[in-house]
Amino acid sequence: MPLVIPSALELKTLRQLASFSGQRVLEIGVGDGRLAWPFAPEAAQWIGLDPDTDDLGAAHAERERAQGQEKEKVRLMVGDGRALSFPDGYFDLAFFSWSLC
Amino acid sequence: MASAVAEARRVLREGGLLLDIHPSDEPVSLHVWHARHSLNGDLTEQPENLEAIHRAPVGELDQDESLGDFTAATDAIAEALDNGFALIGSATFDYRYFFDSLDELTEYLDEEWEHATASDELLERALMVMREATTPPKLVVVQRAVVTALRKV
Repeated sequence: MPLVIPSALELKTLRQLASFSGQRVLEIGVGDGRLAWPFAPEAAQWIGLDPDTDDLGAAHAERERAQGQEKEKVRLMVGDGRALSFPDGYFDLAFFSWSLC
Repeated sequence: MASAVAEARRVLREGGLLLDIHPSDEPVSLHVWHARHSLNGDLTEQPENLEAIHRAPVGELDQDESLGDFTAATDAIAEALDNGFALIGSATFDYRYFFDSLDELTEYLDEEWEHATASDELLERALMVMREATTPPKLVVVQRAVVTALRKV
């Protein structure tokens, strides 16, 4: 994979606009989790949703390899952002990563 | 996909944040980078070396209509501003995809990218620029991305 993932520039730009610290986060379009792992340790909880089971499989594999807090905080689910099975007002932050496309 | 924004709003607490990142609809460009002099470490991963890197723009990739999906994301964010969200801020940055050879680049585009291709003319220009490099060059595909933060109001 030629892309430096995730690029330092990408993480820096996201941090400029949002703090994940202590937040209950829903990532819609979590894919293989590349943006979940850097931020999840500081979040209160990170739920990653994706309709693509192949990508989620990669995310699950990465989660199994994880040693830190992200292993406990990250929960991965198959799902569609247009029909969320969560109660009203449950999250502090909803994060669309390439998933509004 | 306005319904996804509406669903996000429903599950967000009052004052909660909607954060979106997606590629912009600007053209994806191809560059050739090489170091002006020998560097310590990797050309691509040493921010302190960036001033020593010579960047030559080669041209733009050909893009198909699927790039319109990214425009849809921009539209969805604009609609969100009329439907219970306020803008906190927006910023852009560039994804940079590095390749050592034209074969590596074209193979990657064939396998991984559905919305962009490199024309023969573009690849020929890239090859000419690579041959002029005084240190080992890298092909760099640059794709601009937009990050937007909205607050639920």
